[in-house]
Order: sequence, then C-alpha cells, then structure tokens
Amino acid sequence: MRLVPDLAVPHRPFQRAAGRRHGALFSAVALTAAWLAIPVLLGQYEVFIAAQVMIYAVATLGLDIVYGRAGQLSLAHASFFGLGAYTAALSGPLGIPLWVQPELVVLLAIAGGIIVAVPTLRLSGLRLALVTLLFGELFDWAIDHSLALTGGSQGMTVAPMTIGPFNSQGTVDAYLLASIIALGATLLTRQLARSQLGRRMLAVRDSELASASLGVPIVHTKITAFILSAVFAGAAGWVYAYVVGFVSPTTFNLFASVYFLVAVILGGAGRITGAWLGSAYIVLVPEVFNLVGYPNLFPVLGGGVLIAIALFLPGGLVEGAALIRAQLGLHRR
Amino acid sequence: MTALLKLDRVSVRFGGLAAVTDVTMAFSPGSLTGLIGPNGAGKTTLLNAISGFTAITSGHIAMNEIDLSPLSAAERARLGVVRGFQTVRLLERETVFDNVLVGCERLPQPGLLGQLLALPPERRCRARDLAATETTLRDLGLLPIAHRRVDELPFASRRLTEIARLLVVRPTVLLLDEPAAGLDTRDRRALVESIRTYHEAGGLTTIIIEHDIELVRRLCPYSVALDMGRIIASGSPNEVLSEPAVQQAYFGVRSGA
Amino acid sequence: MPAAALADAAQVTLSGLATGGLYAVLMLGVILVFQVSKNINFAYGQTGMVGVFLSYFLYAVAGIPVVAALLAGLALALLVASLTDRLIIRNIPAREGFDLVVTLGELLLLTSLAQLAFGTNAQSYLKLLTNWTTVRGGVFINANDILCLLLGIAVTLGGHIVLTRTSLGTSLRASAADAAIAKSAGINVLGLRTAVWTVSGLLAWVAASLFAARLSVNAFYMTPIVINVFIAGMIGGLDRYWPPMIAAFTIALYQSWAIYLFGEAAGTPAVFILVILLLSLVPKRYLEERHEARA
Repeated sequence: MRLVPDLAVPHRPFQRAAGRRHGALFSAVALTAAWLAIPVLLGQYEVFIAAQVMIYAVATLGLDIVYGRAGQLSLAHASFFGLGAYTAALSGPLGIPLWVQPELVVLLAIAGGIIVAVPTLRLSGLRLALVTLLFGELFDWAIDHSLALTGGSQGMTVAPMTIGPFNSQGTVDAYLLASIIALGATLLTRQLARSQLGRRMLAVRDSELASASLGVPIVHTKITAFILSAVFAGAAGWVYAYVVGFVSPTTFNLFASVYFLVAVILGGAGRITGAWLGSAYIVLVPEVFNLVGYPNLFPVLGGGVLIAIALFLPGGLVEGAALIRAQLGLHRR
Repeated sequence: MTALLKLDRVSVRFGGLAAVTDVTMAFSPGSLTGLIGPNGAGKTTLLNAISGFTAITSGHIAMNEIDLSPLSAAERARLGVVRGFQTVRLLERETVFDNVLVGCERLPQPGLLGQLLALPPERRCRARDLAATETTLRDLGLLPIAHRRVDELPFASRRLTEIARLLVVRPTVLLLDEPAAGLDTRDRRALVESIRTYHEAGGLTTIIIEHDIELVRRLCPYSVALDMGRIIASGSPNEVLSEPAVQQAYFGVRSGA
Repeated sequence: MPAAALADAAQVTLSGLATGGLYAVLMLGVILVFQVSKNINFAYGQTGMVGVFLSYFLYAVAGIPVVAALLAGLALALLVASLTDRLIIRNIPAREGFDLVVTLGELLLLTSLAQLAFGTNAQSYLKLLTNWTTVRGGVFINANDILCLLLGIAVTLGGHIVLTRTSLGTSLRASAADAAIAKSAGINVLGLRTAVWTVSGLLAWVAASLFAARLSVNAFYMTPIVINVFIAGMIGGLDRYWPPMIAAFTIALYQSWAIYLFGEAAGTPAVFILVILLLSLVPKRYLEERHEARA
C-alpha cells in the first residue's frame, strides 16, 4: 500500500523506543546525582530555593494537566495552590491534626476542582478564562475578608510541621518533603501521559468534535483534569506553607496564576520536563533579580517572556530544544 | 435480511432551513453504501444525524433495534457508530502511533485510579491497546511512520492515520465523509483498496460520502443520491447515475434555490 | 424617611449609571476589536492606563502643560493599541486561547512597566469635573458623573449609528462576517483593522482618564474595571451590539446597588453570583461559541 510516503527509514519503529530507554536510564542516574549533590554541595539558602522549585513544579504540573493537556485555560490555579497553603496555615489555629490534613487538602481540592469545573464545562475561550478568573478573585476576596482568621492581605505565619526530629522549616527536611511530593507528582503525570486518560485529554484539547467521534466522555475528562490539577496545586500549596512558614494573598492572586501559565507555556505545554523548566524559571529568576537588586524587573520579564514564547516558540523550551537537536542532526545516530 | 441500521422518516431542520427531509433508509450488516449528491444536498447533515452530531427534528434512527436518538455522539461511538470528518482532526503534536492508540477509547478502560497508579488491569488494557494499534498500523501500511509526529506528515498519511484511528477498534457502522478529498489518484486507489480489505473481513457496515463518482463506482455496490435533503434515487451506482433526477441535480438548472 | 431613602436610591443609581457609561465606552472598543479580529485583548485596560500614567508624569512631575501631557498620553495609548495588533495579535499561531495568553502577558508587562516607571503609590489624577457638585433634592450631582453618563450614552448611540448607517460600518460588518469576501469586495481589511484597534486605544484612554479622576489610582486600577466589562461582554455576547452595551450599564448599576445594600465587601461576590446564576440559567445554545467549522 502506497499511502505512506517512501521513507529512507527502514521498518523498525520499535527499536527507537529501546534507544529511548537507554536515554531514560541515563537521565535517571544524572537526576539522582544532581538531587544528592544539591544539599551536599550548596548552601542552606540555595537548598531552600531548590525545595521551592520542586514545590512549584508540582503546582505547574497540575496546571499543565488542565491547560497543557486538556486545553482548559484556568486562571484560578494559584487559588488552588492557596487552598492548600491556607489549609496548612489555618490548621494550627483551628487545631486540625497533622494526619488529617493531607486527606483534607485532597478533599478540598477535589471539591474545589469540581466547583470550578462544573460551571465552566460549556465554556471555552474568553468565557472559560473569565469564569476561572472570577473564582480566583473570589478566593482573594475570601482571604481579604476573613481578617481575624487569615490576617487578610497582611498574611499569616505558619508554624512548622514537626514529626519527631523532622521540622519542615529545616533546610534538608524541607528539601526532602518537597522531593517526595515532586517525585510523586512527576511519576503520576508520567503515568497519566501513558494512559488512555492522558490521551483523552489531548483529544479534548485538540478537537471536541473528534473526541466525541471517538467515544471520549468530554465532560468527564474535563472534570477529571480540573480535579487532578486542583489536587496537585493543593498538595503543593500545603507543602509550600509548611516549608516557607508564611502565606499571604499576593502569592495566590491573578498574577500568580499568570506566572503559573508562564511556567507551563515557557517550558512547553503538555511536557513534564517543560513544567519543571517553567517552575525553575518562576522560582529562580525572581531570586536572581532580587540578588542583583532589581526585584521589580521580574514581572516585566514575565510578561515579555509570555509574549515572546507565544510569538516565536509556541511549543516552549522543550520543543525548542528538540528543534535545535533536529537541526544539529543529533536525533538520528 | 434484517437491517442493522434503520433511518425512518428522518428530518433535520435548522431554523427555517430543511436540511434533511423524510429520509427512510435501511443498511444491512456488511453493506457498503455510497452517498452522493450535489453540494448542500444534506449528505453531511445526514451523517451528523446518524453519528449524533446533529439532533434530528423528527423521525427515528435505530441500530440493532436500539433507538439512537437519546444517545450523545460519544455514546453512539462507544456502541460502534464511528465517523471521519471532511477535515482531518488529529492530535497534532503526537505521533501516528499515539493518534491511533487514542482510538482504543472504545474498548473498556480501567478507572481513574487504575490508570494513574498503573494497576494490573491498566497494564493488561495497555498491552491489548498497543497490540491492536500495531496490527492496525501494519494493515494500513503505516508502521514505517508510526513514530513520526502527524503535523509533519503529508495529507495522505494524515488521512490514513485518521482512518486507522477509526478502525483500530472494529466499528459496527463506519461513516466516512469524503475520505478521498485532497488525495491524488494513486492515493485514492490505495484508500479504496484498504477500505475494501477491511470490508471483506466482514462485519463492517460502511456509508461513504464521496464526490468522486468513479471511486463510488469502484467501491460501493449500492448508492443513494440525495438532493435538497431528499432521496432522489437509490440502487447500484450506475443505475443511480443514469436516473434523470440525479442528472438534473448534478447538471441541470434548479428552480427556487 | 422615604424622601431620604429616595435620594439615596437616586444617588446610587446615578453613580452606577455613570460607571456604566464608562463601561459602555470600554465595551464599544471590545466589541469593535472582537468584530474585526475575533480577539480579546486582556491588556485593553492597561492600554488606557499607560496613557493616563504618562500624562500624569508629564504634567505633575515633569511640569509640562496639561494639554500637551494629555495629548502625549493619548498618543501613547493609541500607539500601544495599534502595536498590540500589528506586532502581537497578527503574528500569534492560530491556536485557541493563545490570544488570551499573549495579552495576559501584555497585561503583566504594561502593569509592571508602569510600576517601574511611575512607582507603586496610589496617585490622584486630574479632577475632570469631579470637584463640581450641586445638590438637587438631597442628591449630590457630580458633574463628572453626568459627563460619564452622557459620554456613555453618546458613544453607545454613536457606535450604533456608525455601524448601521455609514459605509464605514458596512465595511466593518463585512470584514467581521468574512474577511476574505470583504477583501475581494475591495475593502482594505488590514487598514480597517488597524484603525479599529487604534480607536479601541482612544476609547480605553478616555475611560481610563475619567476613571482616574474618580479614583485614586495605581497601576492595577483598570484591571477590575476591564474584567467587569468583559463579563458584560460575555453576558451580552460580543458578536452582538445592543445586548453587551446594555449589559455594560446594567452590570455597573447592579454592582453599585449591591455595594450600597450590602457594603463595599459585597462588590466582588455580587458580580460572581450574577455570573454563576446566568451561566446556570441561560439556555445552552446561547452560551455556545462559534462551532468548529463544518464537520
């Protein structure tokens, strides 16, 4: 049959998968080495920043599920992050025991995900963006107007999580805690990408019409994507509050949601590596600007980066790297 | 012979416009029907009505005596009524392989936790889906490009990928909307061959909308001509094409349009 | 005291309608842009904001005559609006939602640039008649309120007349319906598009200036305003004319009543509740956006 263009590549598509497996093994070893090296070689401050990169990576992976994979633009993502963070922050004053909190965060995130998802099911484009944005505004509003409990816009401090010798605000402890959820989230996302559920999301993103013709349950898929993204963000926020020890609404407002969007798009929507790169960007670059004394430059850069990526590299950094590799001819050994 | 798919006095109106009027048809299992007619005759609307993308205004559509009307497009797809589109819609940034793998949606899949935690049922289903995908790709000759991204492929390969996605889980009713549009002569011939091969394996009921009369003549034993939403002729392609009403619809001057 | 209550009600209604007038000014820009380029510009309010901030800097800090400062601010707003289209919107890949993302980026960029250039403190702008007040029947009538209301009505009617009665409007509607056909009919679609974006900059600047006179402003002040305008657009439908324009007035009136009845804190949830109610009540067909092209 000649519908396929004649190609120089011989008939052995599955051998390339084997080559990929070697690459994966090599990456795993390199990443483990880097993971061990960070707390050994770097100072306290850098390790703390590394922990934050991992925490933000979890939240970014969450937005990547709902926006990068399922194609639903959510401007409420920072609110889900805040939902987890304020659960941790308020657990002290409200006397919620530690062992209940993870379940509580997951339940709240699931509920939040459903609450945001259901009214947006019929919406797309501007309407979807606006309604999710309104949910974000409502979250901000709720924090601002519960002054007695949350300190309103002034924020509140969070007592560390302590289990025996473990103290979540200790440097290595924070690093470990962040590593655990980051690893969990990354493995879950990887499995999602391999599963039919992940492919359903891509189908819904690319064409709802085609998805329906394949039998994809569109509503179910969108709600699942929203719930997963909310759970990822909530878990990340919960750990964030315990590690950083302070929460205030500016970390969870519209601009924070836009930064998460920057992270997903900069890295490359629908790519795990992309979410990690994006998270590194939104944590590290402001730190660099702080160090050189121009903290105000970060939002300028953020806006510029979002525009530049959308204009020149819509696939994000991961795709850009693939393009460069292809240019150099490295992909065919 | 009992019909697999029955359309009984089906009408579709968009506001004041009657797109399909009183269409009654029956398709027996294993049949291969060409649907022809000039632009705007209501062919795609009829396909949309069968596949659930357009609600019918009146009438009944049933498959195996099951009333399809209350079912959504996705539910009909899971019953085995699948369709292709005039414009190829694929997962643009994914490979041919993954695009066909999505088609396994119509097989039973494990639940959320099963999929996310890669529990044993998920592994079994994945192995099953991978095998089905590979078989289909081999049958349609797509295996050499299985790991190419679809957005860098020529149109013919994209079209074939879409068809592979429909066929990866054997449909009960396959609806194709101008599958040969945009293909050159050789690709058309290859397409006809692959559809025929699948058909001869049995059990598939196909309805094809096609402007290329030659293709319909070669492929379809039976054809139906529509004009202005009504059936104007049916029978073998040659019979249909020699009907004065069909000649009139294609070449003649129409009044009142 | 029913007389006092009546006066209060009149007061709330007047100030709500005045805000509504400015929403309508903004809304016209949103509708026109949507019609010619099928895009939403999240940075729309910031387009006006940078113009206002530049004028403020020029007359209050640099000591340049007010009229010259205003003109410079206007020029900046027009430039930003047309460049948004020329440099950004026309060049983005045609993926759904990318226009939103890219203009969110521009929102962030303009806001943070304004903060960098003009500082983060709230400023008070030209009075623009806000200091002219007279009392009639217990109602404080502010000249700026009246100006905003009249301007809103004038822009609404003017927009209607231009769109329906002039050849310019015909060209606009033609290119909104089908750019390719409009082009083949000899309409300069791209020129028209640039003109419309520039006009949207003008409208944003006018509204931003008048809002700046009414509020003490920081770089964020236009964001919640524009969000309300987009909500009105979402409710009314951006491919129509009267429904979104009326929605612009209505939403402002609704919000000022909510604030009057339930306090300042009620502003945000009131709009939210309205949107959620409308989403769950209006029929599905009304909400569905342009379907994917013929299957």
